[in-house]
Amino acid sequence: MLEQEMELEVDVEAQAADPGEAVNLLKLIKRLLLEKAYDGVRMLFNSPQEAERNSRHLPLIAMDLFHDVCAPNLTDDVNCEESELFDCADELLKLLAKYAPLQELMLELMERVGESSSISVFGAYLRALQVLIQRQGRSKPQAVEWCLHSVYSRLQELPLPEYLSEGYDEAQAKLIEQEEDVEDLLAHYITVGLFRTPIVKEILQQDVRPADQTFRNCGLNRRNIFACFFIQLLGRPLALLEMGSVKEGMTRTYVQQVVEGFTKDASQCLGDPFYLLNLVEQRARWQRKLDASKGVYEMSSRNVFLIEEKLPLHALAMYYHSLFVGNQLPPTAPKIYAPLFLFESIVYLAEVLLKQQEPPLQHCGLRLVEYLLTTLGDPVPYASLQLDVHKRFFEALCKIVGYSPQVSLRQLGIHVLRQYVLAFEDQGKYLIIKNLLETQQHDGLMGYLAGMYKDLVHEALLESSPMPKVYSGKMFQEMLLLCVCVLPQDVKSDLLLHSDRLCSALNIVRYFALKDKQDVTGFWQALPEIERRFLIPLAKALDFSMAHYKAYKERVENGQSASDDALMQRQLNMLAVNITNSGMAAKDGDNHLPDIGTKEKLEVLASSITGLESLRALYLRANECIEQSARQRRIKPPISQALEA
Amino acid sequence: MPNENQIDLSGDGGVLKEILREGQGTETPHTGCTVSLHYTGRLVDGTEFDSSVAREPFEFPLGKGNVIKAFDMGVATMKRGERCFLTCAPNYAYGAAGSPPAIPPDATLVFELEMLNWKGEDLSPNQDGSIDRTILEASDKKRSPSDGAFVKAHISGTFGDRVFEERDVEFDYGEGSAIGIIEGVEIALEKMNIGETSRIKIQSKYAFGDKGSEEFKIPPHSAVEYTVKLIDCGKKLEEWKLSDDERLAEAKAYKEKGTNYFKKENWALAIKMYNKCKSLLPTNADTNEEVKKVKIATHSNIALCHQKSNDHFEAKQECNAVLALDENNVKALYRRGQCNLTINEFDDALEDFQKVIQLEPGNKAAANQVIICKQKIKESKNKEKKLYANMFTKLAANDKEDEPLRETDVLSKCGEWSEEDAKREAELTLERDNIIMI
Repeated sequence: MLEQEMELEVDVEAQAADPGEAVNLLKLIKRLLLEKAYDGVRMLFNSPQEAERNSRHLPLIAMDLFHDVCAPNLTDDVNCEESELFDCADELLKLLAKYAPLQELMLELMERVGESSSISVFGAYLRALQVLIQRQGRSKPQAVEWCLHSVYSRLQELPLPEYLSEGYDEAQAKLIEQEEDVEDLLAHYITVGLFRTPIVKEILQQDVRPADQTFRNCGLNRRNIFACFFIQLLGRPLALLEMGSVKEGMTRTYVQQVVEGFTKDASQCLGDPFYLLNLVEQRARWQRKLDASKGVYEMSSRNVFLIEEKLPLHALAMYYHSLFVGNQLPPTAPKIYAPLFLFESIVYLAEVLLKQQEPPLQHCGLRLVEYLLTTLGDPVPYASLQLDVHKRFFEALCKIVGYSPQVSLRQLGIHVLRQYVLAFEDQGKYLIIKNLLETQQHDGLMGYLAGMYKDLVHEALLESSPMPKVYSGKMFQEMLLLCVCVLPQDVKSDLLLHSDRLCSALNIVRYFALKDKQDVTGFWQALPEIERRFLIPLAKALDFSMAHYKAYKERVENGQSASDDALMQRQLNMLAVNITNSGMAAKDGDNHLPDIGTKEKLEVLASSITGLESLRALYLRANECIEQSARQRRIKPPISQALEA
Repeated sequence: MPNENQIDLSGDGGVLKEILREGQGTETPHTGCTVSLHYTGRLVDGTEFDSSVAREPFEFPLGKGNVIKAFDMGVATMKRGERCFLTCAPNYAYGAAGSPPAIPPDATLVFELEMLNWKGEDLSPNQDGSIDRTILEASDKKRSPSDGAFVKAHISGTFGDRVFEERDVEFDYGEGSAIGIIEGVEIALEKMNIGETSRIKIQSKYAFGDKGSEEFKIPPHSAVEYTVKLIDCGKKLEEWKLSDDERLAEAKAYKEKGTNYFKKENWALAIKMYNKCKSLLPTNADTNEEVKKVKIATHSNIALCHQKSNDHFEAKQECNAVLALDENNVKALYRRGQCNLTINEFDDALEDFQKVIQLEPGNKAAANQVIICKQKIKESKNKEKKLYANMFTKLAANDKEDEPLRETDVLSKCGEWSEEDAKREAELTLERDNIIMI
């Protein structure tokens, strides 16, 4: 309606204008530009008498002016060589955007915004686009959406330093805004910020839900489109700049300012910033089944917030990252949402972030969950684990903890893993640890998880009476026998490969032998089985391995080691994994290390033998503790027996 | 302790409701409904910590734990237009931790609520209201059916006031149509939790469509209503965890299922199962002969299903996929030939059948098809000839009608085509085209 009025207004003016005079004006502008009389051109539209007369002709010549004057001069070459001409063309474009045929110029600008070669050109076209979008008003939201899409596409195509996708450390993060490409990207975002300000103001004034409309309209309208656009902008590439930690009291970086601006606008357009969380499960858990025969296509949903192309899940996750971690929750955000609901919905989004390739996004996913975990008042109920998303989240998290080349990510990951497990009720904690121990392959992580279980039992021993089911009796024994005290390939296990896990298991055995002499947990009942399945084969394996490595060392010393080189290669590959983890990785596919000399071989063997020796020391200590405690237990019968007596 | 105006909703005095204004009618919202209301939350000392009144109404799905417990409980008892106070003990609100900074630890909250309206939950893929759910009996379990998983449910369908079917069903999710379960019910089931009972209103496109159902006496374009209780469901197959051998075994199982549906002439489900088989197959078809064999058989079977359901273009695509893996596959060549013949690509069809004969000289069926093809090509050429000839004749006739009669002029016929000329020209055009084609 508004658009029709506008068009009508323009038509009336066009009718009033004399085509001959309009052509003359066009000629005059061109001549003035040729004569470099830029102020003369400005005067044509700035001086009160001239402006009124000349503006009337603009509807007739706007598109000619655009094609003949603006477009050819809004280029980087003109900007460098004759900046005044560029500025003049820029001003003219903004002016003619008020009078030009709306759809025609909009189409032109969409194309040129997408193709703009620099921030100056981008800015010039965006200023004109702003005028057009304001003229468009609430009608034809699809056209507005296309315009915004061309802006978004341009931002996505900007060149970025490669390391942003590969991850960077805190020191690099501090300097990130000094990078030329990043500076340019941020300049583009800031320009978009200037572009959207008056439009948002208008939306908030005009696009208000009428009193008789009880429910939110989730269809295609200007307000929703802009909400989606702002959230889209928070995704890639801006999200790649967010690996730097947000600390209070520090200078506000440009990245922060840009993120805050778009987050605020998105929240204002949405009204309730948590509203989209109601749709997250629907988006992440159930895939929309497309069916052309029923008209179900990617873009056919009447709820725009359910369409991935309009509202990518990773960008939505970044929006909530900004709200929670970036502390951008508006004061008007409803305070009646249940913390558990917020947590579960955020886990869906965090999982999306953890699954992305780029470490900055994974980092944000971890920070997001870390924050939400601090908001939980009560333990997360065990029933929540029926949601598949927890399992998927742990899979993604363990991949990062075990194999990410970024040290900071691994560290943050293990912290989040711990907090996440601890956030559940006892039964939930048990189930998570047990499942992870059964499914994960990473040895260090398995050792860590087994240690966590030991800590939980330790706490329960100190505090709980009676002991919870999951920390004693059958469930405790199951955990120890099936998940903790395990030699993966029995006597043939590669002890060095599994040393982290074995050390942890031996420590746990030693701990319970010493601390649970009363057998509150059921450790002593399980001990014979632990000995049969774990300790005895481990002793044999230790003897075999030690003998093997010593013999190998001897052969190397005598120069007869060719037959063992495969083993050496395997050990070196293990070493290579460690190097990869420390961020000093060779390129992908470079699995084989070059042959090494005798001296290096001997060094590797010496370290292997040291590793085995420390494992043996731990084994002996565990056995010693068991014997010692068993003796004490024989002298002082357990409480249960004492009571019977 | 509740005073005389307060209703104890939780049974332990934790959630007390005091009606300020009675609502309309008797209906209250069901679990799962999207509720729209205004609220103002205060601490017991009267400090307002949150209010929607100056904002747009607050919307949330009821009974799903999205809001604090007391809110879910209280709102579920409200009628349209009702206003009430809701006093919530900490264990029904933010508990011992509170929600800093607005809500202190162990805070009792008082909400003033005004119910505006509610609507059912839209489960339709396009959010166009074609599948609308109302939860009659919620469940605290969180497992729902997913593709391929076993489902056990009780369904009862009504049209108007008439119950047209009521039965227990057991099937693998995604294959409901094999036992007559309409698509709308299957879509809804995916979002139900074990133990949940829901009422599902289904528009015709997800029910019996434009044909209706003779068996249930449901006219075309009719909306129906189902009450569904999800009794149990299995876990979905975790594809990413499968080794190559396991993937192959699973794929074979789906192929078997596909074949069973094929035998029952349920082409749509057969295609669905074969496609599932295809997606499960390991990616090592280049190196693993067995995988390649299953892949070829699957594509070939899908092609046949498409042929049976008269989707010859899709069938042709599947044949192409087979031939990409095995260029001398006689079945695929023969089927592609049939498809080409049906979609009037006679030359391509002829080529396919000729290749079959080349590979299997004694193949009589292919020899027959070659004859048919040649005949069709001839017929088609004749048709084209006629068409062009008629076209030119008509054009010439039109020209004659339109043009005013002129005086006889010897030169007037120069350069103009007679009907015979037009025919000859059409024939020449065809010949030229054929030359180019050859």
